[in-house]
Amino acid sequence: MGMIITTKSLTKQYGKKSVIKNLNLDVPEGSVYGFLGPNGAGKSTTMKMLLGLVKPSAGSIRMIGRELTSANRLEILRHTGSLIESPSYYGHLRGRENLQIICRLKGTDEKEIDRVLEIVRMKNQQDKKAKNYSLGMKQRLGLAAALLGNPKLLLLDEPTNGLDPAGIQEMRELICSLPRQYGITILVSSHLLSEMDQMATHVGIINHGELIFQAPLSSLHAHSRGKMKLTTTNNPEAFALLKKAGMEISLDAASGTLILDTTEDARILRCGRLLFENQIGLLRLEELQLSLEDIFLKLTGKQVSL
Amino acid sequence: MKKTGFASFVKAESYKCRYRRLWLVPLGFLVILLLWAGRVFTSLKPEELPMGYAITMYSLMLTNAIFIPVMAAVLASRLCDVEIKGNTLKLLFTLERPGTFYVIKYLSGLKYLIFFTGGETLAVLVLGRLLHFTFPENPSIFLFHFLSITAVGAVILGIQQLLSLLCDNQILPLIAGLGGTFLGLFSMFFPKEINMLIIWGYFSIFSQGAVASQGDTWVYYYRDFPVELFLGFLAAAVLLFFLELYIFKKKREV
Repeated sequence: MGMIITTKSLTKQYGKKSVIKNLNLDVPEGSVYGFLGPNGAGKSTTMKMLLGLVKPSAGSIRMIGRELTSANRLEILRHTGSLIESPSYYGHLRGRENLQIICRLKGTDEKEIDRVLEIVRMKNQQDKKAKNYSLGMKQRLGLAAALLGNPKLLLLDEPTNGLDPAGIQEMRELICSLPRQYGITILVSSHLLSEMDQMATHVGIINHGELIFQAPLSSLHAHSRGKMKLTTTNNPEAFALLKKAGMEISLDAASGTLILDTTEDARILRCGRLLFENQIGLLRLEELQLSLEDIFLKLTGKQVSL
Repeated sequence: MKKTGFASFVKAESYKCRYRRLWLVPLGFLVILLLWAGRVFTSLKPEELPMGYAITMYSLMLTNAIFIPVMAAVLASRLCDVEIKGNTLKLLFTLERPGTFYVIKYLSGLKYLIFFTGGETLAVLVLGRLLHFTFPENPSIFLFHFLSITAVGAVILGIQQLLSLLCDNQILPLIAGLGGTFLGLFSMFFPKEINMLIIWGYFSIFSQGAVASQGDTWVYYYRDFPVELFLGFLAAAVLLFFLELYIFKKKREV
């Protein structure tokens, strides 16, 4: 699979403060790439650099097969759509009229408006003034604008921010359908880890301006098979025994169960043998799936605010 | 996808102004000006008619110093607040260069200004003819009047546009516009050297109508248009515009 976006040592400094440090992003073509990170991690700055709205201090960006420069930026961006943070719209104009302006600026035929309104399911609201739209509708209008001109790539920065649960669900469904139906690659940022779990095929995690993880979502989930939960006939005694034997074990205070910090077969076998030899009965043994929050914690060593 | 260019961007800008009724701004100011001019013109005594146009030019110096900065502030604010309120700059700058956006926005405002200044010049010319003012020996005074008030107004419009694009709250540029009006009026009482430092005061510097006291009476006369100073002003105006453009590109965080 080819890469639609590749950044090499992308760096942004404001004065002496590094906001983005040597970012090497690889976004595969046809993917929904979830760009994850807590607030202030550098997601929006990276997105803005990809769109040429912020000038990188160092590094390079390759997008849709071409090196992004100030000279060819607009030409490359004509094949992309973007939705950065809050939606952009002209409140005094109707939804359709907003899209007409974008058509003019993109050089797209106005016949396309019906198609994109259909995709974002806004045909019935196109004649309402944009200022009277709900936030969810404004976001969908923004997405419609981004879809004008059949872009190969969509950059969506926190597209579900501020939406109600129904709006989030709707936006999520829309985003997931785009690569499948129209072959569009999507780079979507969010600080909501669970959201990415439902949308992304690939994930990049950024923290303090550094990319700390980048792989397919399945690979991220491989990280989640990290623990085993044990319930025995005498949990406190089992805990003391296994601890003494040097095993990475903890006692969950809330449930009183034991958490073994490994999924390695040999260790689980040894654990079972030790319990058997000491006449402690093993009642339950189950593999624990780490939540994405836990994985983030594991990767960064810091709790994220969700 | 068609190739986009300056014409597409201009068309998009005109789309943005739909329902804004921007023509009402210069039209409103022009109507007020005409009402005022009508009252002044009809109150002239027969012996004042030979200098009717000089009296008009002198009076317009004051009204323009009041009307044009306020109008420029309102126009710039009306044109720019749609971008600020709608948070559109970050989207627009992925489709057009910030410099192109700034220039087109400026040209969009300029056409309304020219509507006013052209309308004013034409109205003065026509009303003067109707009321039998003596036509000046040098008819170019009308051209110079139009050029000078348009140029000064254009510089003020540029300043107002920059302020309107940099401020999230449009009250601040409007206050700045009113401040400019007062500064311009006060500068007319200052020595010419100081007057020349204040952009809003250039309506009086370029005015071709002047007055002088002769004993107990005031005598109106035509003043030569300062062509060299005007050309210098235009050159400075171009430099100022590029400075504004530079500040906009540097300061406007998207």
